[in-house]
Amino acid sequence: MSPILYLSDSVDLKKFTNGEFIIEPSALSRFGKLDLKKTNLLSKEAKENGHKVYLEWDILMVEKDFIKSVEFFKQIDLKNIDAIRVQDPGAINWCLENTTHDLHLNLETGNHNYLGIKSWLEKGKSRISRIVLSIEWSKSQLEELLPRLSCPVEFLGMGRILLFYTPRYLLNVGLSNRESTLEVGDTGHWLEAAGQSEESPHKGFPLLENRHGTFMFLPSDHCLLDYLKDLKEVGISYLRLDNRFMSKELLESVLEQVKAPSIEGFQRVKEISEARLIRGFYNTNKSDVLFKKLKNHRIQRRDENYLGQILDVNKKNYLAIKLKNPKKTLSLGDNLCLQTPDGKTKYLTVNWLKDCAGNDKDQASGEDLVFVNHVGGVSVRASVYFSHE
Amino acid sequence: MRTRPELLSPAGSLDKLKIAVLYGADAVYCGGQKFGLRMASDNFTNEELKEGVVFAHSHGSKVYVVLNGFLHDEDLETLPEFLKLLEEIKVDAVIVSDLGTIETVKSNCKVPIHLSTQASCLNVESAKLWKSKGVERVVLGREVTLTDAKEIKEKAEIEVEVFIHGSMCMAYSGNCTISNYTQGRDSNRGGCAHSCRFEYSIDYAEGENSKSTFMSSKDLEGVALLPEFVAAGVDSIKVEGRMKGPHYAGTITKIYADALRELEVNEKLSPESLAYYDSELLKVTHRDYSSGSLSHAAGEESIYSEREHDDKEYEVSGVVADVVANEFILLEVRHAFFVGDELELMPFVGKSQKFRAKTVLNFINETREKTKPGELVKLPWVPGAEKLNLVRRRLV
Ligand code: SF4
Repeated sequence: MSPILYLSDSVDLKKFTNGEFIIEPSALSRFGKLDLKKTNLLSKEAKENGHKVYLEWDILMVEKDFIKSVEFFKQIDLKNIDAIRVQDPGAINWCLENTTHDLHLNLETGNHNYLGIKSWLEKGKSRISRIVLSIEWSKSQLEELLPRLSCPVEFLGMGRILLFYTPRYLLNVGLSNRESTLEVGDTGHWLEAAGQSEESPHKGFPLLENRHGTFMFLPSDHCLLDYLKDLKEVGISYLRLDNRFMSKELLESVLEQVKAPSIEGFQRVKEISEARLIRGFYNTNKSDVLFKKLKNHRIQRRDENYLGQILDVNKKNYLAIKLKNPKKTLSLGDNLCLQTPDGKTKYLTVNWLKDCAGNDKDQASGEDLVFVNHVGGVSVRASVYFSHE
Repeated sequence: MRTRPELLSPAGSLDKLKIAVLYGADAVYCGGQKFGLRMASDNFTNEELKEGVVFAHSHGSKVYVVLNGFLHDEDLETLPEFLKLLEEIKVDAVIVSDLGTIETVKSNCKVPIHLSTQASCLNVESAKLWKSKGVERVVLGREVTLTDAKEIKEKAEIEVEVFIHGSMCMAYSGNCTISNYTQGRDSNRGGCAHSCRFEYSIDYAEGENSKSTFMSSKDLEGVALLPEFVAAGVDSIKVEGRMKGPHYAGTITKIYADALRELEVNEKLSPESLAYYDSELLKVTHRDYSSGSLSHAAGEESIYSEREHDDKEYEVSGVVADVVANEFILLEVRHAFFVGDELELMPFVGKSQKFRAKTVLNFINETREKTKPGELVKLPWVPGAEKLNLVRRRLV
């Protein structure tokens, strides 16, 4: 697995052989700090040192920003760029039609199934030389997916977990001494903070506001450096190490661990890291389990015997039933089964049946609202079925 | 005038679907039991979907079904069966968020595909790409201005749907996973815990600190900009809110339907009617309103600086369950009220009619001094009252 790092002045290019680096111009990248001149200079330097350079274009863009981004893009010295990393579908489409470079497709948002990924690869044909997958893919899901893919996959090995991305400027507002020399949205605009809420058990969410908007990260960082063998076996080809928010010391121990994995090496990474390290959803992703319980399934209609719903209960006097099954007719003498929202089942034989005006009826159907004799223990919103008991 | 855009309203349940349609929605969107983003909403069983489509079509309205979760492989396994049902019952379109779902729809049915706002389609090139994948309409990201919407429609030659009213995610749609990591609930498959509405204390690197609901967005409200929606050629104006109640579904739909009718006759909304629409919109529970990014990129004025609160000017007293002309209306009570209270009946078209609950009787004609939610009561007959009209009460 080849490690990939982000390029900046603080990276000593000479220390690496055949390295792979992502270059982030501030105009195109969410967390980029480089202007055009620096982008061209650093990528040239990296190339001269024998490394591969990938241009990060991962911002999301409304039309006005898209046009500006394209203008900027056209000024980059592309001969020093080996591939373009794109995320906004607009950027993907534009690059496919207007460049000849390899594309690394960032599929970290909204791509959680094989068919979708296959469809992206078909769209890009041979131009897509790498896909970047979301860390929400669990190991077992990756095991199923990767053998089916024709394209190498990149995965985050270690780094911050981005939780939230908005183009709105949310942090600057809270400062009493608003930025005066730099306008919000300017190239150099960069504001960092940490947030916490009494309503969340997590403390110290890293926050960042820059020209592209506001970002929030999880206080814990993602780290799979104790699973390197595993990742290789699963079929991950490239491991991204997000050094943008790492100290020099931490980066050194991270690189050491990737080069020669060991339990001690991993322990050292853990000790140096300021953030708690987690594996996220790698071992299992059950994030759809909890919310399935948010709903009361007892009050949902289920089968062809469904008749309607109880709208009113008047103790010892009557029940009001809203008929909801146009295929069914309710008649005097029918046996009904009533299922209450709290899980009780009650039975009732229809001894009398009246319409809203109090007229006696023999039958009711369609969407009629009818009143019948009362039975104890039934509450409003109970489901009414014909009973065969 | 230009072509009238479709008014698309939320339908969180069959009742709300009927209310939205009767109050003037040209189309409604709703979800089945799976595949959507509002897992805590009642949603529709297959039978209810069938009934909803028949009801909507019989009133000339369309039904779109959301499949807009970011679906995982295991979710897609059971999707084909559901798609067959949707085609059979003649659903008018499905709203999807990802390519895998699009491919599954294409290979299993011929139901038109609309791209959900979850996919954050923000520019012309993006719309072109989705079109090349079989999408007929894009629901644009809420960050897109009306000027950009026009350009996207014209240059990508695709139908565009733009939100005009309702709650807004502060994040780019589909780009928030706070709930995934803090609550173990996938916000992009229906588990959002609304952490963006929390109050946070913020410690700035510079040493300052503050406390605020800095990630909470005001609600979108665009009635004053409706003529611009029309001028931009927007195909569908969308109201958010499948989780909200019948009062919301009915009132918001009615206001925008009335305003669209006015624009069929005049180029602009008159100041009087605009004042009326604004006052009606205030009667529904809402956060402070903002026009979001409809005219220009949303700025700090779009941040909602309060913790959630329950202040509301009006509440729905009930829904008319039946009418016996010249005698009484039978009301299904949603919020308690007292005998003697002044109530307002909201007809499907036209202004509300005030009336007093001089008598409140149950089915066996016993007087109810105070009603309770979930009972049926007889109120004095109001001329023009129809089944499923809303009855509301002023609180402040
Ligand atoms: S937490 Fe807020 S921003 Fe995030 S998905 Fe939920 S509503 Fe949207």
